[in-house]
Amino acid sequence: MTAFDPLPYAIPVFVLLIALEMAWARRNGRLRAYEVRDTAVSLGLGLGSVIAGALSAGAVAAMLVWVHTISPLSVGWVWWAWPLCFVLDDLAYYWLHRAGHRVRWFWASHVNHHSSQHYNLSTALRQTWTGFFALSFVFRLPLAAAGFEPGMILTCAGLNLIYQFWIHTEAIGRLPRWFEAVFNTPSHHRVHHAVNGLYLDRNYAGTLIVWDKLFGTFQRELEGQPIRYGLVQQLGSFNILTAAFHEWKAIAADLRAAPWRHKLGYIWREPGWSHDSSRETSAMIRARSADAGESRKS
Amino acid sequence: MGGPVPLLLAALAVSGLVALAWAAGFRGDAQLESEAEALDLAASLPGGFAGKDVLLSADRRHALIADAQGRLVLILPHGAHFTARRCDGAAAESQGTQLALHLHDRTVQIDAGKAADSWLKLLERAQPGKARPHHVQGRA
Repeated sequence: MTAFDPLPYAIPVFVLLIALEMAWARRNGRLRAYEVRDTAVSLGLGLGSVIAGALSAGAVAAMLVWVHTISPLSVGWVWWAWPLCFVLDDLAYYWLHRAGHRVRWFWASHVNHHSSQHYNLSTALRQTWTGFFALSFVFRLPLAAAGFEPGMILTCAGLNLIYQFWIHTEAIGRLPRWFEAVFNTPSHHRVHHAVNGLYLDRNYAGTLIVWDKLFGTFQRELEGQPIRYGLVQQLGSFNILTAAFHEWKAIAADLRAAPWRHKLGYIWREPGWSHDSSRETSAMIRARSADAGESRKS
Repeated sequence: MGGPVPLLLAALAVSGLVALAWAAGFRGDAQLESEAEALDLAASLPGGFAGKDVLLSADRRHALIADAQGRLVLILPHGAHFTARRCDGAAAESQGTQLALHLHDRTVQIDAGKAADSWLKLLERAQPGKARPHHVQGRA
């Protein structure tokens, strides 16, 4: 299988841009933009995710090759397959990401990316260690079934991940209207990382924001609405192992404690769901937030 | 690009960036700007929290908030930001202006000034919440 992994070549650029963003924050007196322990956890999780990805890369590639082999379709390495593969991979990413927020099993793997109360370029590297365990790769198998070369799929996935690095910043406001209309941008992605009621579970896009507009999950960043980042119940820990595994641990605790007929609900239902309605889902928080907004107006 | 060399270089880069963050002064030291900020933080808890009375510690690094039913929320510094958590039923004691809250994972000292005794009474009266989050719920 031919595959080009662009990620190692992007890492020096990531490092340089993080250093530049720190300089920008310091120059502009934004001393809350970074925090040394938070940065250490983010970068540590990034490094760990590279190792975890390398360990599982062979298995993921083998599965893509197997699906591609049994598929009656074959696109080959023709030039036009590249942009098409990238766009369809971005669509697959949208659904993977949406599932990562709407299904607790996938959320347990993705939550660490949201566990920082900061929003800076180091947050972009706060990536999962348990993506393979969570079976996140299944979202890309349909591309192989559609006849795309496994190497092409993996290269497009790498390019998509690299694109998403630069949008994790407060240093860039709004970009030209045409760009904001088509692409995921810092403004759109700030909304995604926000825990403000209005912004919860919005803007799942990887590269193209058009998917959110198409599937009804788009929310524009509003002026005068200060953003709070992180989790609705903040983690409150700089322990890297807590950041990586806390939701898996919480699922295990719920599975032990829940009545038999409700156990699976703690895996496949949305985060915040509970069989006794003692917790809040994002939909409940959004509704409460909207009610509070309405009562403030009246 | 394979083998341990790229990983070692990446680890070196991580160390360098962490050192840079420290040298640039990003060391956390959050202070609450106002009672309103503390109330907003408490309101952001899952389930919401309509705070009524606020105690800002003398160093502005902690706050205690009570609602009309006498339930309590503690605001704690976390790096450059804050976290909020319910603290109904936490054991507490006071000595002079100092209020000590014994949480399950730590003890928090708050300089409450003259209000130490009255907040101690509130803490002693507080009953455990009905829906205290025992772990991180979905940010969703």
